Amino acid sequence: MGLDDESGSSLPSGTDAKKRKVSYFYDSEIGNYYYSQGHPMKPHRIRMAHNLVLNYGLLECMEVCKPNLLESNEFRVFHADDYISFLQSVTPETQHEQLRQLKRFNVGEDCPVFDGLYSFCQTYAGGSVGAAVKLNNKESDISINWSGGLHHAKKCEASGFCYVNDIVLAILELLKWHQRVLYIDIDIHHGDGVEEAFYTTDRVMTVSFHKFGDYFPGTGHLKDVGYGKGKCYSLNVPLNDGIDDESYKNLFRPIIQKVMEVYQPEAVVLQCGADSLSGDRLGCFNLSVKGHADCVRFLRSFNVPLMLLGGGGYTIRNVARCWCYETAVAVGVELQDKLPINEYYEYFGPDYTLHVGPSNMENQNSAKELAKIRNTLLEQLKRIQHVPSVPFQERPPDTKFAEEEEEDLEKRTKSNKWDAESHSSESEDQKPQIHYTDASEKGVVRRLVCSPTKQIKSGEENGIGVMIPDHVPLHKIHNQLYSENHSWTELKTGPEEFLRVTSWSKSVVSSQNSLAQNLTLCGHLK
Amino acid sequence: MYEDLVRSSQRLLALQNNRLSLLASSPSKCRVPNNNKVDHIFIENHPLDSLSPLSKENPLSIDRFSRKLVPVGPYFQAQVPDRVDVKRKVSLGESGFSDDSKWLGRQIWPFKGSNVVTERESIGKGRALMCSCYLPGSVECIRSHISEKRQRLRAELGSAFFNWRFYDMGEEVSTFWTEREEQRFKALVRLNSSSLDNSFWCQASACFSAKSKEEIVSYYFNVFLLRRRSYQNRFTPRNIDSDDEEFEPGFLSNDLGVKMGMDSGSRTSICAKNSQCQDLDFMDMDMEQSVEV
Repeated sequence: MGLDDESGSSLPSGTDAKKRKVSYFYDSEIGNYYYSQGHPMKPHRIRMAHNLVLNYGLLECMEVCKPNLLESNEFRVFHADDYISFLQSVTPETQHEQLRQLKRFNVGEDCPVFDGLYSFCQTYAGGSVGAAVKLNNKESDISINWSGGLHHAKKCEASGFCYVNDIVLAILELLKWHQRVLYIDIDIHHGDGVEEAFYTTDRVMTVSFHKFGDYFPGTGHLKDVGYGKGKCYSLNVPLNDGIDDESYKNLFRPIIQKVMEVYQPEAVVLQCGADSLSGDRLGCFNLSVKGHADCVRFLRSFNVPLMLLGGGGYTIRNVARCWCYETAVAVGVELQDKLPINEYYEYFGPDYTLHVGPSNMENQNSAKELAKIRNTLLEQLKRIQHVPSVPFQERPPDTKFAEEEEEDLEKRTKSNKWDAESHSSESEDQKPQIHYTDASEKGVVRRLVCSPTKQIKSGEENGIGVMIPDHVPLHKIHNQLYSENHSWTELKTGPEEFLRVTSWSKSVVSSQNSLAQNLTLCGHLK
Repeated sequence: MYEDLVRSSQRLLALQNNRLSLLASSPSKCRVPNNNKVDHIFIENHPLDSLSPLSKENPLSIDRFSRKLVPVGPYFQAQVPDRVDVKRKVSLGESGFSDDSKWLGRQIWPFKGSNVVTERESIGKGRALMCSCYLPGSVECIRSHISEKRQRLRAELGSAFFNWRFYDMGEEVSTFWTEREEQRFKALVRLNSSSLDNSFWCQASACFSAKSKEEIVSYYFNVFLLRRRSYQNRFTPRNIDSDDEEFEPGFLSNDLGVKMGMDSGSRTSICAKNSQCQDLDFMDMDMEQSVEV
């Protein structure tokens, strides 16, 4: 396994702010699954979204895959054996013989038995696990499965129109290759199934924005923060009716920004339930498609492997609009507002536009309350140690430097030495100037050059050798550098934070021994 | 496995009795909870209680609602190993491919032999502002443009067109139904008046015994609902709905429902164009039958 993967180098598509490699999972069978008469959940919406995506010409920008169907042993990685056996066996014709089991597994009302139920589960879960594998293999930067995102399903029962929890299964797959995964849920309903599954671990942080109070599923209070090892790794943002784009953004961005800094996830899963849109049949928020998609846009800017999943959404014409637009945001294309001709054109009349404005409903969330909620959560985030499960590196730059740097430089072709000691004393006075060469080519890594005290010109090979703990990948460093001020030569961080930068030798790295060549620069920043 | 009795608390019992239904807007369900599942529940103080800006003087509006606790135990949480298995990663070699490569799915697009000529400028493009139809924006105008677009996509997408079941999208689906069958479907909906309940689908299955439930459902979403929206867009533009199942009487009546401002002659010509989509001559049988390893 190359150094690339241990330290998690930047994404396959490189550091280009616009481009991302996108994989999109779609199964053409999905549209004809039918829950029951009058049931608001209509898989047909996914077919509508797909048709819109094609007719906007977005195919050119991504790869489309048909998902593999999940098998029963694969469901059992999370779900209880008897629950899966039940799902496999029950049919609309035989359900009356299994009344006790229907009750036990909470199937029959919100979660009806319908024709093809089990293969429906195999399809939507297969898409999410496939999306995870794409990210694990670094074949794409963003992977999408609009048929997934069924976040209410529990280990041993169905709930809220969800039978199997494809999100949990996808995250378990991501955890094979990523130490920390961040889960964010913008469905109007609390992401209870995913929170519960990972409530006691710090390897998954769950963040849910939802309506709270006399509303399904009833969990998601501000004070629900996790348990045991998972304490403080669950965040809940409880909201009232009518929240609009501006208020939502003023919560989402600062909270997620802090989460990214403190938790440094190696992969992110975003459940994009569209029932938080204005005019949803079951929902009561007032977000526009643009406001909803701003969450996708914001996460995309961090340049961390990202999975987009579907979820709720019961005004199907708006669901199709939303997920089509978010597909475009993922690939980095702006869509014209006048919809292209498509098979479902009439669904979008009488205006036939992509964007639908919010309504004039009252926003029952006062600015004061939202500020309180935001501050409480930011406080909570302060309580968790930076990058859990790994000791925070606090050694001063001078002691370690000299020996490691010597060791490192001996192996280099260039032999310019760097006087580490003299720099450590200066570092407190001067702002660090950082420059590094692109390290995005797979299998080939280049030297990262940095100095806490002196400006390095582009192309210069001199620099302090650095070692990095293997959990901190390059693209995160890059993001920290890049996102702080949209300029990676300048940093604004608190005095107590240390800069960690990576460095590699200019050769193909193929063995674990190469890890020893990584060195860390630690220095105070002003 | 639920026979293993574990501790349960009265408090959890009370909480589970308040289980909410997503379909109802207020707590309504009272189910007998399965106590046996509970290992233990945690009741922990909020870690920031002492520092929290929340206080009794300034409660949040959410504080008036009870807090439903999260259950903890082997029947609730996923099993998560402590760390990534580094040895496993290394043993898979330089390529680093997961041994679950079947999960990558079957790539449908792009594929060899596709002759897409989409120019960069047309990505993200909406519809043209003007068209040269006799009645722009009419049902006939829209249908003809949809048909043209479908022909273009069929040529560009090749076998992907069939993989994605384009023939199963939109009004195209009505080409598999005779006019008489369509009239019968509408009559059935009319008989069931205000909403489609259980009896409608049973009747539909019985009425169209030659058609599978899937075909009937497909017709419902792709043709019936689409035409309903078409009706709404022209006759009730301020009152549109794609989701509830109370159908407009005007839509259901024979005169307006089928014709919708079109004569049957032009409909026939469109059907003739559409029927080309049933031509499967260049469908790659290998692609259909291959199995991802």
